[in-house]
Amino acid sequence: MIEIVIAGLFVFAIVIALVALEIRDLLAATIALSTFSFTAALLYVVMDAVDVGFNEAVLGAGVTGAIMIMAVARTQRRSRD
Amino acid sequence: MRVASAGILGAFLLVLLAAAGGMPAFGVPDAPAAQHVARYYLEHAYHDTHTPNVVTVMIGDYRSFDTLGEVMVVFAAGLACTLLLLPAAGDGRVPRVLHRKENLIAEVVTRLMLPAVQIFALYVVFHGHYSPGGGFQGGALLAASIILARIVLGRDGSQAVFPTRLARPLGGVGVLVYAAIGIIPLGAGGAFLQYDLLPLGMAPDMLRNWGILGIEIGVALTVMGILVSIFDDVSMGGQ
Repeated sequence: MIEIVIAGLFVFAIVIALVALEIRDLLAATIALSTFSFTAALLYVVMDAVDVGFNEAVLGAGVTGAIMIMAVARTQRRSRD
Repeated sequence: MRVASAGILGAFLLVLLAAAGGMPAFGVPDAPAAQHVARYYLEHAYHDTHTPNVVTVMIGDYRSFDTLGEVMVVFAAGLACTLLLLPAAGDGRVPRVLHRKENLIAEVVTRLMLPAVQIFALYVVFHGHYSPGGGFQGGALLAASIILARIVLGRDGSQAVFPTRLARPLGGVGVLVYAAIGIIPLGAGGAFLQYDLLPLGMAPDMLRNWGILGIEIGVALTVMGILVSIFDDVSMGGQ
C-alpha cells in the first residue's frame, strides 16, 4: 500500500516539475514549483528524513514561492522564450 | 533541438534506472553508507552530548565546522542578492504588491497566526535536541512569518513586526555568534568548535549539549535575517 503512495508521489513530482518548466505563465509556474517542493517534502517524510522534509516544506513550498511571486510581480508575468 | 535534448534526457533516464537496480535497498543496515562512521555516531551520540536527536548532534557537533560553512554560504548569498538588486532601487516607490491590503479577514487571520507561528518557530529551535528541527528550520519559520506580515500588512505596516534595516545585520550577528562559540575553546587550548571546553562549569556532555544550542541560535538568526533580507531586496530593490 505505502509503495503505491510513494510511487504516486514520485510520478506527481515529475509531472508537476515538467508543468513548471513548460508553462508560459510565470505565476502558474511558481505555484507549480511550490507544489513540487511540497511533494518532495512529503517524500522526505515518507523516507524518514523528517528534518529535511521540514526544511523543504518551509523553504521550498513557502518562502521561495513568496520571493519568486514578488519577482514576477515586479517584472512581467508572461515568459517570452 | 527539442527532440535531441529529449533523447539525451531519455538516455540518461535509462542509464539511471539501470543503475538504480544495483543500489542497496532502502534502509537496510548493511548498506555501505551505514558501515563506517554512521555506526559510531549512532552508538556514541547520546553518551557524548546528552542529546537524543542524532541528526542534531551530527549537524551541530560532529560536523559543526561544515555547518559553519553552510551558514557563511547563506550569509554570502544574502549579500550577493543585495549587491545584485541595489541598482534596481528605481524611483523609490513602494510596489503595488507591498501596499497594505484593505482586507479585514486576511489581516485578522495574519495577526492571529503571527504569534502562533513565531512561538512554534522558537519551539523548533530550542527543541531541536529532542525532536525534528533546529536552527535552519526555526529560522526559516521565523522568516516565513515575517514575509507573511510583509505581504498582508504591507511594507510600512509590517516594519513594526520586523524592520527592513535590521535583516542584514541580524544575518551577520548569527554568523558571529556561531564563530564566537567556536573560538572560545581555543583560549582553553582546545580545537575550534570543541564545545566541551566552553567555560560554563558543567560536565563535558552537557557542555556539548549547550554548545549545540548556542550554534543553533546563531544559525536561526542568520537564516531568518538573510531570508527576510532577500525577500525585501527582491520586493523593494534594496531601498
